[in-house]
Amino acid sequence: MDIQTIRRYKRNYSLLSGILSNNPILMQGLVLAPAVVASTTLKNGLALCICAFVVFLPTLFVVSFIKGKNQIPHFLRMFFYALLSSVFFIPAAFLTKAVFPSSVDMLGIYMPLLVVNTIVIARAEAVAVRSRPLVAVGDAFFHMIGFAVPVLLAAGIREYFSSGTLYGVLIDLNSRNLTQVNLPFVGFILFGLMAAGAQLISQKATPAYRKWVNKRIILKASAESTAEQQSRNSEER
Amino acid sequence: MKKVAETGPEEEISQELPQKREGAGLADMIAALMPLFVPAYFFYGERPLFISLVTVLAALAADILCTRMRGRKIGVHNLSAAVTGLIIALLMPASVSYAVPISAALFAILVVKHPFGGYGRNIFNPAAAGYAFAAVLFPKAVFSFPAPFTKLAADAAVQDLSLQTSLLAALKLRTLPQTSLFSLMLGGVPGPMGTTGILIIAACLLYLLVRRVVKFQTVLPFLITVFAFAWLFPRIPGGRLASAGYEMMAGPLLFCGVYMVSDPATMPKTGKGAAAYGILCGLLAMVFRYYGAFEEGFCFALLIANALAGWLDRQLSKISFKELGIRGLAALRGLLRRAAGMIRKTAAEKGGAGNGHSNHKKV
Repeated sequence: MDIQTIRRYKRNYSLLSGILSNNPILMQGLVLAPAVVASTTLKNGLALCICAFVVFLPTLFVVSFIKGKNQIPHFLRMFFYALLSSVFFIPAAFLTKAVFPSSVDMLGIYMPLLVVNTIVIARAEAVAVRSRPLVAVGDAFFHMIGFAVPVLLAAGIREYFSSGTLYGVLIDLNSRNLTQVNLPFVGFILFGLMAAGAQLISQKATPAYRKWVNKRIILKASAESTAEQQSRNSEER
Repeated sequence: MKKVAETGPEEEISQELPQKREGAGLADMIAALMPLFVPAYFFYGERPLFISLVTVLAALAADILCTRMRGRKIGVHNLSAAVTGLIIALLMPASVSYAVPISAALFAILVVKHPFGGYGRNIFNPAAAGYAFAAVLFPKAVFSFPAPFTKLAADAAVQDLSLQTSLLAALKLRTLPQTSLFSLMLGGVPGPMGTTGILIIAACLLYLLVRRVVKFQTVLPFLITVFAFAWLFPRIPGGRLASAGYEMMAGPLLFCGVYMVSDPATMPKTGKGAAAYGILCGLLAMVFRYYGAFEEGFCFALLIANALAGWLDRQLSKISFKELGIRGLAALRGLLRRAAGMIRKTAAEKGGAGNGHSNHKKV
């Protein structure tokens, strides 16, 4: 089994890294502005996540068709990514407006801000340009899940404390209505605490995951080698 | 005072390793905070004592928990959490519900103190951050005060109590308060439960200065800056002196100046840095008071100054005032010579005698 095959396998397994060990918000600190400011209610958070999904996945899908890094010069690629995601923002904006009409006004500038976002550039440069379309989309999907989970968590916590509701449904009748929770500084502190928690979980989970991946690779390699041997044997015969 | 200034290097060493000597400082801090409970009990009854006790217990419990979680030994340094809890409790109005100071203390210890490295290594003053947290989250509870001489019971929540705004709210509206400066000094005004006894705080400041727990290099520039700012830019009618007096004595500014500005962990380590830090704190505090959203923005000012403490140390250690003085004198001499030359020239042109400017030749 040559090194390139191992790399290919590892890349396929590193798809999942967007959820925890390479989480765009908690580990890399990307897209902090919309995440901190707009995650005030679950509806707002969900609107943000849907918009991000609809913008990012097709953008990275299209980017993955650029074969080789020299097809578009480096300084133009950034503009290309932003242009592409602004094209996909049009249907995303319409979709979000149809599903959450009130949230669009509350999100304000932070929804269009997703067009010039750092996740697109980071993932496009790191993975999408040099991978097959399916891998690029899978990577974007898991990064989006890594984006959505903390945003929705923060949105739920802040909605519960600010109005005693969850997704607009009244849960806590004796809520103190701390509307100050919606201030950005609370969002920063919440995301900071979540980042610390993610570090803790990642430190515990990543070695186990790596071990599992290595075992899988070894298993596949042995299976391949036995298959090769069998084919050789059959040829020899 | 001069003796304190001469022991510069020794103090710097002690701040490099705060664990070695800080137990005594903490005991002094607690001892200096205790007298403030006398006016608190006198004005509001037993409730301030219970609030402080509960807050201190919460802070201590959180601190001990965090220390154990980080695998450190429990020791005298845990008393710094008690100081934090006491300061937070004394900054609250006596009518506050127990949840507010407790959550502020927990925020101070769990979010501001230990994630940044715990005792002696925290960047931001925990008490200031806790108070800022309470002020932002519960502004109504923190900025409305019961009238003095109303005895409050230690129940969970105080009901049917008419709450007042402090004198700072009147200052914010640019009106002259009805209270005289003398009664302000004695402390019979609505305000945070521990911070209205100005005379007692001043006495505690003297005690802390003598015990060298508080650095006069920070506190004096701070107080002078506040005084000068209020003197130069009065926002109330009634003259500059009244403005300066009210700004200094209304609200918890003096309390914060004594107990929070010269926290050894968060202030600059060099003398020059400490002085600049005091000036910066005073300036920012007054700017927050004049233009901020809340009537008292001291804690926000202190947090900003905390963030700049290390930078101040680094920048000011490059500057040598001796060199600056020599260079400035030389520049001044050059200027004077040039001016003398010009005056002589004009005098010669006019044909008059230039003897009147002979003193410039000496320079």
